[in-house]
Parts: sequence; structure tokens; C-alpha cells
Amino acid sequence: MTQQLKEILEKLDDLKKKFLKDISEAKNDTDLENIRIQYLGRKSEIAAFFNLMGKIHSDERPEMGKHLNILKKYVQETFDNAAEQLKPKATSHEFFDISLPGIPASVGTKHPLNQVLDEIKEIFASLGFTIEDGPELETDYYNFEALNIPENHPSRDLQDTFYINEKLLLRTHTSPVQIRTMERMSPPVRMIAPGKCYRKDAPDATHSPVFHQVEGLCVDEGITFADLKGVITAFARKLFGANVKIRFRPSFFPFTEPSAEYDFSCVMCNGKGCSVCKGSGWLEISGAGMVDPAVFNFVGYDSEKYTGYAFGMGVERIAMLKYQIDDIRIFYENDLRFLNQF
Amino acid sequence: MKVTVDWLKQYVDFSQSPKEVASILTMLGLEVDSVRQIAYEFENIIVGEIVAIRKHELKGNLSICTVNTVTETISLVCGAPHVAPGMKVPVAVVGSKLPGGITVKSATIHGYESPGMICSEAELGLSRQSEIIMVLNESARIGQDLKDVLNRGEVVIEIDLTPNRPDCLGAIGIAREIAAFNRSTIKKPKINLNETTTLKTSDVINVIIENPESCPRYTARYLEGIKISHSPHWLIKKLEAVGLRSINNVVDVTNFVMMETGQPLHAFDYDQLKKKTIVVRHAKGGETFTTLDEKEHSLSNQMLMICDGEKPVALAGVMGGLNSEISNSTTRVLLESAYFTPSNIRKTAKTLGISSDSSQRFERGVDPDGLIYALDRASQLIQELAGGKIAQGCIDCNPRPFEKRAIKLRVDRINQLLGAAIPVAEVVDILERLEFKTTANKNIIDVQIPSFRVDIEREVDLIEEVARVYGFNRIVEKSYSLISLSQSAKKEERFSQLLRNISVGIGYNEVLTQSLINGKWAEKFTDNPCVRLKNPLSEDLGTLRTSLIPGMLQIIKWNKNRYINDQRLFELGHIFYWSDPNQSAHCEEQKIAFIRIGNTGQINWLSAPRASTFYDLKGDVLSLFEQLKISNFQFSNAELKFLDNQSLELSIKQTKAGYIGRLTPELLEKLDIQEDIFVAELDITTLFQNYTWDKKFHPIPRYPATKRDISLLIDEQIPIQKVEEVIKLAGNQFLKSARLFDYYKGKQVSQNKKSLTFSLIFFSTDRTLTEKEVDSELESIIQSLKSTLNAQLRA
Repeated sequence: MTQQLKEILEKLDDLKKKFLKDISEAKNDTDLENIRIQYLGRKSEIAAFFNLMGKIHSDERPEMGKHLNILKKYVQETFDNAAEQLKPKATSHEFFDISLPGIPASVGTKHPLNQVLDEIKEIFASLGFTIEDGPELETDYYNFEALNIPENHPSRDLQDTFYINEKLLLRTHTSPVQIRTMERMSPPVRMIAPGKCYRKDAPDATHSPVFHQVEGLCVDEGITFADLKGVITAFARKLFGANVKIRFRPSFFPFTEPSAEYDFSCVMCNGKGCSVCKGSGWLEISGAGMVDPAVFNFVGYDSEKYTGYAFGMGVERIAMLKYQIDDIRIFYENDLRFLNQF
Repeated sequence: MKVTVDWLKQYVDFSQSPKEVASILTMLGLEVDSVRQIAYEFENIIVGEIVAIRKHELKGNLSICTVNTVTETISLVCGAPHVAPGMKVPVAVVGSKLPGGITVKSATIHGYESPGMICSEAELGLSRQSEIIMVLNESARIGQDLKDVLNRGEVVIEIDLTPNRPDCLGAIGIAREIAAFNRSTIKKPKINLNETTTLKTSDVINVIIENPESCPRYTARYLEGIKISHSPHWLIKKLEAVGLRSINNVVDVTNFVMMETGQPLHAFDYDQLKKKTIVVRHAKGGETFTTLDEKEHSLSNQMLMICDGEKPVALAGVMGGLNSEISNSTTRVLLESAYFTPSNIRKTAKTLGISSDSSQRFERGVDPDGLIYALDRASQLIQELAGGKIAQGCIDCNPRPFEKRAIKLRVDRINQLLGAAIPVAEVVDILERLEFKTTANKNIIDVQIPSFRVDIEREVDLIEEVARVYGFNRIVEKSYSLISLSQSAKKEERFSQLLRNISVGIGYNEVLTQSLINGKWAEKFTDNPCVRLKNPLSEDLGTLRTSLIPGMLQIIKWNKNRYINDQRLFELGHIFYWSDPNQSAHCEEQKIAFIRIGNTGQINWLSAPRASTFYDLKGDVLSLFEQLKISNFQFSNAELKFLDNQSLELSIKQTKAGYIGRLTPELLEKLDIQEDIFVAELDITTLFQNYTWDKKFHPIPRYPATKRDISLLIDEQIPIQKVEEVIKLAGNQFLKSARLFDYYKGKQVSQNKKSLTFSLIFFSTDRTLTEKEVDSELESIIQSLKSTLNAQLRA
């Protein structure tokens, strides 16, 4: 190392010490700016050393460059840190009212019935069911005949129907989707059909001429009533919690045999008896049963080989229980003060 | 179907409480709707004995009865003709309460002070009809509270019976279910007919069935010398408890036996039958007939009539005729017990709009082997209550006998369907309890079906019988373990969810409206013929919606009436119309609609509210498109009758996809709303078809973009879309986007001109563009704007 280089390195060391002293004494932005000009500016001492590079022996240039760069980096980082430290800490003395209201973004809501429907779909999707749909304007064949509800049969009285003409009607349940799905595919079939249905009921607290239903169907070899009970139990627990009990009562539907009504233990009183369950401890949910062989005949399934179950449920009924709503009409009023609660 | 507990106890012994019985029936599939005790509506009515009677001096039709009530002896004024000393009667004294909240006071009647009254059943609310004084049983104790004497707080059980169980449309049928549950047997009332030997039924009446397909069996009996009068107290009570009105002793018996056995009966006044022949035949078109409710019906060909050889006397199985009904002067009665084919009766009842207790039973199917029992039971009761003679023998015209039904039942199949393990012995036991006859051969049981179970036709029907008595709740649920290889939600379903989520995100509340609307409103939103209901609930719910907008406007109105002015609503749903004028083909389409009214955003302190404009809704819809990554749409001016000039139609690849616009002032006036309403409706199927499911990654540009702003002055009439097209056409190399960010019309620019400022972004995917490259493309854009649109560049 030549004497020249040695001297330069010493000077650099002095420069570093002087810089550290200056920076430690810096009190404000002006001090900082002066230091910046003195040590990091275009005409700074460090810059002057860089200009000196050309004047030393080429063998020693890399050595000097290395030291210079280290110094420059060191100075820059130290300066930045000091500058950061000196930055005013917010404006501690300026009054800022954090309690002024935030400016709200506009966000909408999904209709509560669709929120419940989403939940139902999700549960059945997790149980391996597909989601199918069909038209609301249905033919007599799909809505009644193929579901073993012949013309001039008292079972037609179970559902008061809106007719368009002799053959066209508004579907009274989503059960026609069962038929349409079975016509389209062979077993195994496991589907739910959510959708709008129509019955000629004058609107009151528990009836709406337009309502929503979810129909379920599962057909395969070896499907049993015990499977039906299993799937309804799973659904009940996923929707209302692990403590819900289910109960099946014999009933009659033309498209299932045996037919049942199923009840959930009251979700309000846990089955103890309250005004919602009229003291019985049970809530009527809907109907279910094993697919009637006559229905299989309509869609060309072998009723000896395949068995299946079907079930239905009213979406409004479930939403009313879930949200503790006692009048079905509120869903169709669409009062924004109602919608915004969900 | 209503039945009282006392009534059931006549046919079956049971120890359960009414509530417990209700629960048993419900769990057997006869769903009990209510269990109701008939409450007495009186208070403090006591038993009194009439000790003396004398005539009222002024009013001969009144009598003064001296009545002993143990605590006192009082004189009461009474208007009834049949009072006699020694009678025990219900007495209301001063302070007693009568139905309707009446408190008995002392009254002066034609000069006589009457400190109370002797009551009739009607006055006590025990009966609607009987106006005569109620005479109590000998065993009633003087001074006893009447409630204790009656001691028959009848409990009425109301069952919501499913249409497959006509056998339970009679009390005996319900009793049979209880017996099956309790492993006991039913006691059918014994028949003990006292027929006369001097007169044969076949001598006085002849039955001809012309249409056996509608009437396979007809039985009848003849009674004469009977006396029509009131029914006794017990019979009136029973009928009223189950909701029937007492008419007279003969008609009441037919109703009673119907409620007991489920078999409807009809009594004709024999003297009103012209020829002594009953002809059962289909009506002739054009015939008219007046039923006993005095309504005239015009008959059609298939309707089954009971005729007397000359004229119709009853609408078979539905209602009797006015011309042959039992009257107070009737002395000779022809009693009918028949089987009519269910579908025929149902058709008639439906067509004529009559639903009677009789038609309801026939259309569900009565017990073809139960006709004679019901006929004999009724004949016996009529004789007991109305006297007279029963002619010997009954007419039994049975041209089409029912075959006995037998079904093979595989126990393995039961368990296979139920997922249970019910042993053969238990299956046999259950069926026997239900009065099925069984012969078991290993796992296969031959089952004879009793005639009253018309609903059992197949093996699976028997499986249901076994299951319901075995108990659904004894079948253990199977935990569910199946995997599905298919995708749960179809793409259409997922697309609808996506639309919902985006719409919520851009600030819209989802609504669900009635798909049935007023036809006048449906017409305003379509040029297609509307689909109308044949049997609507009301005009307002009479037509299927042709657009989602009218229903949503009702919601706007509803909320505005509740002082909610700023509304943004969306709905997904189906719309309907006839796709041909002959109404032979229809369309059902899925739409999404948006409505906004009022100010943008919520009121806040930082910025002033601003009324929503057409461009706000347009922006919302375009945000939806941006989220869907659908960009290949075009706008054109809309020509829709419900929108004014601020409206556009949207199409994608030449297919109409929807519209955005402002409602016409006429519609606003109809709605009585003074503010602008902006609406949009889009076709979901079209959007779905243009949506890309398989999204592919596009590399993010690695080189920086360059931004240039240009300000133009152009003719006011030139649409922005045109300007954008010119810019995009000229900027064909590096131009990425051109966004309008300033728009001005007014004093600062010359008339008929507008000032536009666009922000243009240029970039290249393979290098950083030089200033020169950008400037050159910008220059060609400017030149193109100048030459094609006569635009001037502003400084």
C-alpha cells in the first residue's frame, strides 16, 4: 500500500468521525439538510474523494473504491436513520377528531331467503347432492301425472293450483324436477331442486301464493328409509346445531310410499314446549318418503332394482325459524329496514 | 274429520287420556290437528223440580211454575207448553250466567215477577236448534250444578286426514287404529233388526243400474209409518260436536251412521218417487236438477243420477234432490246405501263446485262390503227414534262385485326398503292387528286385504302399513357416507351466485317479489302477449310477470312510503310470455334487474349528496360487466315503450342482452312518484353464454406504461362512443386504454361544442416505449380525430 493510499484512508476515517459527530448533533431539518449537502451532495467531501480516484495508481483503485463505497453506504444509512428519528411524530399538537363519521361505502345485501337457500344448498352439496332446476311454468304431466297424482284423484286437493290452461300450470312444488332429472340420467341420482312454487293460497301470516321449496331425491341400489333418516338428521344438525332431534310421522304423498312428515325438535325451546311449537316441542318441517314405484315406472327405472327417497322443505318455513320471523309476508314486502338486517 | 272421545269409546276400550290418544293417532299417520274440550258457556245453573203449575191469568200461553231448588222454592214464568209437575229442569236463578255474557236478573213478565227462568238447550248454548225446555234425567239431584249432571265435557279430536284413508272417515275406522295400537279389538254395534213380515222391500221398490261402471253396487231398504220429529238430545249433541247440524230424526240418523261407519246414506221421501223404481244412470246433457240446498244445476253427460223412473231425485253420492227430501209430513222412507265410483263422483263434485260430506267419502272410496251394515244400522236407529215398520229384506243390486284382494309380501323387501330388521312374526302381528288376514310361508306372507282398506293395492302399500305401526322412529338412521363424482352446482347456478355477489358488492339490495302481478302492469313492459292465470286469486295477482321491473317498482313505492328515498334494488327471477299469438308456445327467461332512485351514496359530511343519474346506473351495469370480464357489448338507443329518451339497449354479438334507462313520465305518474327512476334488465342466459369459465393468466406488463392526456373540442352531437372508436382505431399499436375524465359544455366553449379530455395509456409488452414512439401514435390519433370528427385540439 502506498503512502498516498494510506493517507487517503486515514482522511476517510477522519471524515467518518466528523460525520458521526455532526449527525449526532443534528437537531432539525436544516441541520440535516446541511449534513446532506456536506457529506452526500454532489459537491461533498465523499464526492471529492471519488473524483480523486483517477489520480491514484491503477493497482490501488479497486482498494480505494471499495473503501469509498463502504463509507458512502454507511453515511447514507446512518443519515437516513437519523432523518427518520428526527421526523416529526405525527402532528401531536394538532387536533384530529377521530370520531368524525367514516364515509360509508355502499354495500348491498342478499335477500334473507336466498341466504338461507344458500346455506341449504351448501349443506346438501357437502353431502354429495347436485343442484338441479326446472321451469316454473310446468305441464300437468310433470307436476302431477308423473308424480302419481292422476286427474280426478282427491290427492290433487292437497295442492290448490294456478292453471294457465288445460295442460299448463304454475308448479305447486319443485318435485317435477325429480322427474325431469330422472328422465335425463340413470341412477345413481342424488339431487336437490330449489326454486319458486305457487299455490292458490290467499296471503296470510303463514301462506304466500309464491313461495320457495327445496326438493331432494336420492336413487340407487340399496337406498333405504334409514338413509333418508340419516340425511335429514345430518341436514337438521348442520342447519340448527348438534342438539336438534328429528321425528318422522306416517303421512301420505302420492309420489312416496311409505310417506312421512318430519319434525325437528323445537329450536326455540329445545323441545320443552313454547309458543312457537305450540307446546308440542316439535316443529313440523315437511314431507319425505321412499319414492313410489309408480314414479319409477313413469321415468323407466326398474323399481325392483332401484330404491330411493325424496324429501321436501319450505325455505320460508326454515328462514322463519332461523330468524324468528312470525309473518311470511315480510319476505315479500322487501322493506329495506328488514333487508338490511341480514 | 272430527270425532269425540266418548264416541270412540263406544267402539273401543282404551285407558289413555284424550291427549295421549291424539298422540297415538298422529304417530300412526292420522295427524291430529286439535284436541278441544267443548266448554259450557253457562255458570251457576242448578237442577230444579217443578212442583206445581198454573196458568198465567192474562197470557194463556204462559204458565207459572213453582220450582224447588232445595235452597228455595220460587215461581218462574215459563212459555213452554210441555212442562209438567215432577219434571227436573235446568234453572237459572238471579246471578246465573248464560252464554253471551248474560247475567240473569229478576224480570217482570206481564205483571208477574220471575226471579229467574227455566232454560232450553238453546238458551244454555247446548244446542243451536232446540227451543223447547230441556228436561233432565230422573237421576239428576235437585239443587245439583247442571255441569255435574251433564258431566260430559265432550272432547273433540280433529284429524287432518290424508286422502288415502277413507276408512277413517268414520269413527269405527279411527277406533280400529286405536285398537291396533293397543292390541285390543273393536266392538261394532250389533244389528238387531225388527223387520215386519207383512211387507217385502222388493215389493215396493225395484232398482235398475244402467251404468254399473259408475255404480257397481246399490242397496236399499224401505220403512213406513214413521214419524218425523226432533232428534233426541244425545243425537243432536253428537252431531253438533262433529260440526253437523241437526235436521230431523231420519236425516240425523243417516248422518250419524255416516259419521260412525264412513258410509254416506240417503233417505228419500218414498211418496215423492213417481214410479217405484230407482234407476241409476248417467245424466243426459242439458238436463237440470235442483239439489236440496235449492240450487239448480245443469247436468253433463257423465254425471250419475238417481232417478225415480221418471225424473232425477238425487245427484248420486253428492247431494239429494229438493223434490224428494224428507219433510215433516214424510211417513214412508226409502233408504239408500250405495257404492259410487270415486272418479265419477269427484268429477261431478268438481264440475258443480259442490263438496259434501257424502261426496268427500265417495270420491275417496267407501267400503264396498260395508253397505248393508250401514243400511241396517240406520234402519234400526230410524225405527228406534221414529217408529214405523221396516220392510222385510233389503235390495242389493250388485252387478259388479268387488274381487277380494290378496297381495304377496316379502319380508326381505320390507327390510330392504326400510333399512330395518323386522322379523316375520312381528310383521304378521302388525298386519293381523290391522285386520289383514295373513298366511306366512317362510319370508313370504300372503295377505288378504280387508274391503275397507281401499288404499292397499301393492306390496309397497303393505310395507307402509308395517312401517307406520312398527314406528318410523324405531328405524335407526344410517350415517351418510357416499361420495359424489359430479360437481354439485351446475354452471348456471354458480353464475347466478356470481351475479348476486357482484350486485351486492356494487351496493344493491336483493329483493324477491311476487312473480304474479297485475295484468295492466305486465302489459306495460312487453310487446308480447302476457301469460294469464285461468283461476287467479285476484286481478293484482292474475298475470305472470313479463319483466322483473313492475314488481320491483312496488317495492320502491313501499319503501318510499316509509320515507326511504335512496334505494338500489336488484332481483334475479323468471319472466314469462307467449312466444306465439295463439298461445301454444311460451317462453320462460331468467333475468337480472336493477333499479335505483334517490341520491348516490349515503349522506355524509365530506361531500354533498347528488341525485342519481342515468350514468350512475350505466356505471353500475358496466361494473358488473367488468367483473364478469364481458367486454364485447354494444349500445344502441332503446325504443322501449316504458323508457324515455335516456335509455339504451345492450347487445352482445348481435343478441339483445338487455336495457338501461329512465322510466317514462307516464309511468312515474301512475306510480305517483316525482323522482327519476332508472331501471335495467339483463338476460342472464345471454350473459352466461358470453362468460368465460376457463380463465387464463395474462402476464402482467413488465415495462412501464406512458400516459398522455388530450383535450378536444368537438361537435356536441357526436356521441362519446364514436370518439372512443376513432381513438382506438388510430391508436392501434400501443394504445392500451382511453378514459374520458373531463366533460364540459357551457360558456367556456363555443356553442354547439363540447370539450372532452381523455387520458390515454400506451405501453408495449416487450420494451419500454420511447417518447418518440408514443408521440407518433398520439399524433396519428389526433390527426384522425381532426379528420374524421373535425375535432380541435385544446391547449
